[in-house]
Amino acid sequence: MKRKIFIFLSVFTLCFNFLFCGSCSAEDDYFVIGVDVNVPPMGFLGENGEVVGLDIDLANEVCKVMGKKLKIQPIDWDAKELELNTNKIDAIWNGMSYTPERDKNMSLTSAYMQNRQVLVVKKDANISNLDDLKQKNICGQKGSTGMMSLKNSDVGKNAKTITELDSMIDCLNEVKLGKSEATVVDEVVVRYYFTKNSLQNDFKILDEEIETEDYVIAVKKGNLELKDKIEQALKEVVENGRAGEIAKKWVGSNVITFSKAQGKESSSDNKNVNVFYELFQGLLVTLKLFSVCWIASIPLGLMLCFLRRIRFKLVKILIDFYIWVMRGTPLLLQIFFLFYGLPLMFPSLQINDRFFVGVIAFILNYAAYFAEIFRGGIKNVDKGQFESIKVLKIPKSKAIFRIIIPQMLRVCLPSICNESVALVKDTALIFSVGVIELLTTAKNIVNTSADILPYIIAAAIYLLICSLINLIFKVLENKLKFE
Amino acid sequence: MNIINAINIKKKFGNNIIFNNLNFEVKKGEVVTVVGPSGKGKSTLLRCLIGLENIDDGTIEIDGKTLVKDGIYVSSKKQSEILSEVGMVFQNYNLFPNLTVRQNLEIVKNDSDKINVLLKRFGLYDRQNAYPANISGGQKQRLAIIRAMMLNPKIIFFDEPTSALDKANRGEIVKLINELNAEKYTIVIVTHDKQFVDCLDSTIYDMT
Repeated sequence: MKRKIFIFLSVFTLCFNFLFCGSCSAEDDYFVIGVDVNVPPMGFLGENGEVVGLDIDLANEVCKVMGKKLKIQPIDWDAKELELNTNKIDAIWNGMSYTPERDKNMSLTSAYMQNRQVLVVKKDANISNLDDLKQKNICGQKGSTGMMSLKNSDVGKNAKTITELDSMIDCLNEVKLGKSEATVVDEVVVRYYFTKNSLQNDFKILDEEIETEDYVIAVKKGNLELKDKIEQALKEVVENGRAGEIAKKWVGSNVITFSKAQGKESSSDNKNVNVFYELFQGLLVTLKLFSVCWIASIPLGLMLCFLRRIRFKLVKILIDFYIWVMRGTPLLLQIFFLFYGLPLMFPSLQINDRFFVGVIAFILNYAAYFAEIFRGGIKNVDKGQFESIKVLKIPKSKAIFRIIIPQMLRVCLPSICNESVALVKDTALIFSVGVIELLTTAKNIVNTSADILPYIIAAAIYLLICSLINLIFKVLENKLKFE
Repeated sequence: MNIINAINIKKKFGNNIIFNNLNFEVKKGEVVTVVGPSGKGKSTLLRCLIGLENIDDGTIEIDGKTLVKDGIYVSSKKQSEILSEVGMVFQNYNLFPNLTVRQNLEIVKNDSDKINVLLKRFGLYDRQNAYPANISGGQKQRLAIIRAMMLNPKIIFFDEPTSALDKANRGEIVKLINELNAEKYTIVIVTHDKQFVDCLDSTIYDMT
């Protein structure tokens, strides 16, 4: 026996080593940077699927100087502070602008380049500075940094019209076609785009900017040693000319310099959040989703369960198919399908109320589970009950509601309770269509504050709700004993 | 005049023939006991006569009306009408466990006066708000009998009425059946309890 335990333990330790050696031994050799892969030309997915970009090339050079290997780790941008604080990555290096808020939560290097919000006009246009744009039509990308700074600037206030379009390319086309005289764009991005598509001769970039952002690299708060090391290495790369070459390759000019970073407080980053208030708001969404879904899916499940017992075979086949699909595919997939898939297949089904679509997906999914539970419940009702109903000629609806359902419920109650508790926790999945509920709220707060408390509060709230449901069902079970 | 007339009826489950060319008749106001070893289809006969099973061939007439002729049934609406002449007390009573004694009757017919009279007569008035799980075996049987009487049938079937009762209650059910018979109810009893049959003044139909 002892021998067996020994063998078991050895095998266990061996497996354990295998699992974790990959990540722990590499720590010293690698320099891991976290990137959001959607920021061309700084860091984005290249044609072969690997991450490429100006920042990546620069980071590679810096690693060479520091004597390390570069490892690129795509991350959830919202969780960047958490990634640093838990040592999952060494640095954030991804066209990240300086903000005082970020300076507070992480240790930031000096700015290694400037990104300006600039105005692009046609090459032959009779416009050379910002004053020339008075009473002109200006366009920009909807929701972009450039658009926001344009609206806040004198240029924007003096413009004749401001048009918001879906993409930078649309904006450039608009200018090319003369519908707008100028468009506000991200300098680094537009330079990359011009270089890549050889458009330098069609457009010109005005010298004056409406806003400047400083790009910085972030490390874990307080890790000044690493910060200094990166700055030192970066300085060397700038001085030996490699930085200039990289910048030329990506954006057509040498934009890399060194300066003290500065920036404005961005309005969205610097909200003074009240943790409890935010969590309460999230909780309301969770509760709303839970109750609507619960109240709708149980009767729907009951209906399905009874419908599949009627004489028409086709109805039974259709319902069984529906239940089969709903129980056999992930709820997350069903939510995606309803929100993104259906409008693609049938454009008329485009519904933009995210909560509504989420609720529908939940109801459809849970109704299938409830129908299955009730099917088991009906099977458990004694055959003699149906015979009594028949012999006594009790009308169908009366028999179902007064005799069958109450007896079914008694059998099903534990399963319904289980499913309800599962529903409480599943509500978190609605984040996938952009509805912010309790868990997502907690996650967002943790991400920015790097404080684990909101998770603990959220866990306590979930526990409380689930315990309450368990309690209610216990009471119901006693009520339905019929003794 | 026969209140039940079953002529040449045949019943099979799959390939298993339960009975064939069976003739069964009950005169109005009579008590008939159907006896015989188990597996010969005593209960099945009762179930066919009350419409819980369909026969495969033959003719059944109840109170002069044809339920099925040469294996062909009348419309389900007509069946229901004809079968309302027959009540049934199941072997394990099949009471509705989620309803109280009184509710078990109300769900069949909401006739408060009739329910009160019957509950009092069968000694269940004090227990009217109890659930079936909380009343005795004899009380359950009496409730099942009252429930069968709610639709004013002319005939009452009993399937193995003594199987779940002890000796004392057996005397009681004999008394009850005699009382019901005295009120012009026709009664058909399926049983394999010889002593019980001996206590009754009945026409015996042996299915061996």
